[in-house]
Amino acid sequence: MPESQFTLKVFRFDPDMDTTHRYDSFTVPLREGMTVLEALFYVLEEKDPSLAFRYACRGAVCGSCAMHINGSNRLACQTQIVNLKATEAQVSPLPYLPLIKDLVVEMASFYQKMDEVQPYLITHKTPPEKEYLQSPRERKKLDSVTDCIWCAACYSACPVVWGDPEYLGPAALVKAHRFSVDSRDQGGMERLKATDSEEGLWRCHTVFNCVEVCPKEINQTEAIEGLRRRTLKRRLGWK
Amino acid sequence: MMPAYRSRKVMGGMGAVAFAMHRASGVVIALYGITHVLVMSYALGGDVGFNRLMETFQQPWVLVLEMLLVAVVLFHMLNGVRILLFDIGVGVRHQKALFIGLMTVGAVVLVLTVLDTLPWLQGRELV
Ligand code: SF4
Ligand code: FES
Repeated sequence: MPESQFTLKVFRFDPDMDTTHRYDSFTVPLREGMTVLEALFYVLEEKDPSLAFRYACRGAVCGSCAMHINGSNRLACQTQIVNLKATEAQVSPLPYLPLIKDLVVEMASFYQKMDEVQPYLITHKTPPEKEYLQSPRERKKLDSVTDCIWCAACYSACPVVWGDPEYLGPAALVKAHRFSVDSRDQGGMERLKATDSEEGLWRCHTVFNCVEVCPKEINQTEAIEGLRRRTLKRRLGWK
Repeated sequence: MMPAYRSRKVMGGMGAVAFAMHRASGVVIALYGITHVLVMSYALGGDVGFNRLMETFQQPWVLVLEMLLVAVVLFHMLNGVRILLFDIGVGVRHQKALFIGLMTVGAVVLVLTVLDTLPWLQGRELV
C-alpha cells in the first residue's frame, strides 16, 4: 500500500437489519493533517452514504464526535491519523452506551446524570445590580474544570459505570465540583443531595480511565476527591 | 434493552491495572484469611494433631506459596496507602509515579524477605 493511504475499519450496525455488528474496511487517501472525522467524511461522500456518525463543530468544542478509536475513547475531530502511529485506524462507537446506528450512541442517560447535579449557578440571594464579582484567585479555582464539553468519553471509559448504570459518573461529578468551588454559587446543599449518595461520589474507585481519555485534560479524580473532602467537612459540620 | 459495543481495551492504563490487581489481591487475602482460621482451629483438638499438621507445612512448596502471599499482601497494602493518599489530596496528579515508587518499595521488601527465607528453602535451620 502506498504511504499516502491507510485503512479505516469502521464499526457497522443497523438495528433494523443486523443482529450483530461487523467492521467494514475502507482504503482512504491520507492527506496531511487528516483527522479521523475527515476520514469518516471521505467514506460518507465517496464510498458509503449510509454511514452514521455524529459531529457538529469539527474543532473539539461541541463534544459530539467522541468515539472509540484504536483502543481508546477520543474525539474524531481532534485525532489526527498520523498520531495514531498505525497503518490502520479502527473506529467503534463509545463502549457501553446503547447503540443507535453505526457510530451513534444514545446519550440520554449521560445527559440525565449531568442534569441531576444541576450544572449551573444556583443563587438564593437577590442578584447584584450589575454582575457577580469574582477575584482572580477565586476564578483560578475553576481553571482546571471548566473545559468539559460533555463528550462522555470519560463516562464510557469508567468500569464503575459499566457495572452500575445508576452511578453518576466522572463528568457529572466534575460538574458538581466545578460549581461547588465557584464563589458565586450557593447551591451547595441542593447539589449535595445528588452527589453525596451511594450512586454518587463515594462510588469512584480511582481507576483513572477518565483522566486517561479526557480530550480536555480534565483531572476528574482530583475533582471527585476534592468534592469528597468538602462533603465530609460539611457532614462533620466543619464548614 | 438496546445493544452496546463492549470493549475493555481502556483498562490497560496503570491506574486501571492497579485497580484490577487491588481487587484480585483482596480476594486472595480474604481466601487466605479463611484458610488460616481453619488451619489454626486444628489447635482446638490438642497439640499433637496441630503440631503434626504444622510439620507437614515445613516444605519448600509451602514456603514458595508463603512468599507469594507476602507479595500479594505487600501489593494490597502499598496500593491501599496510595488510594488513601488520594483521599487526603496527595498524589492524584502523580498517581503513576506514586504507584511505581510504592511498588519499588514493595519489591525491595519482597526480595529481603525471600533472602531471609532462603536458608529454610535450602533445608537449613536458621540460627
Ligand atoms: S470530563 Fe472530559 S471526557 Fe468527560 S465529558 Fe467532559 S470533556 Fe468529555
Ligand atoms: S465535532 Fe465537535 S468535538 Fe468533534
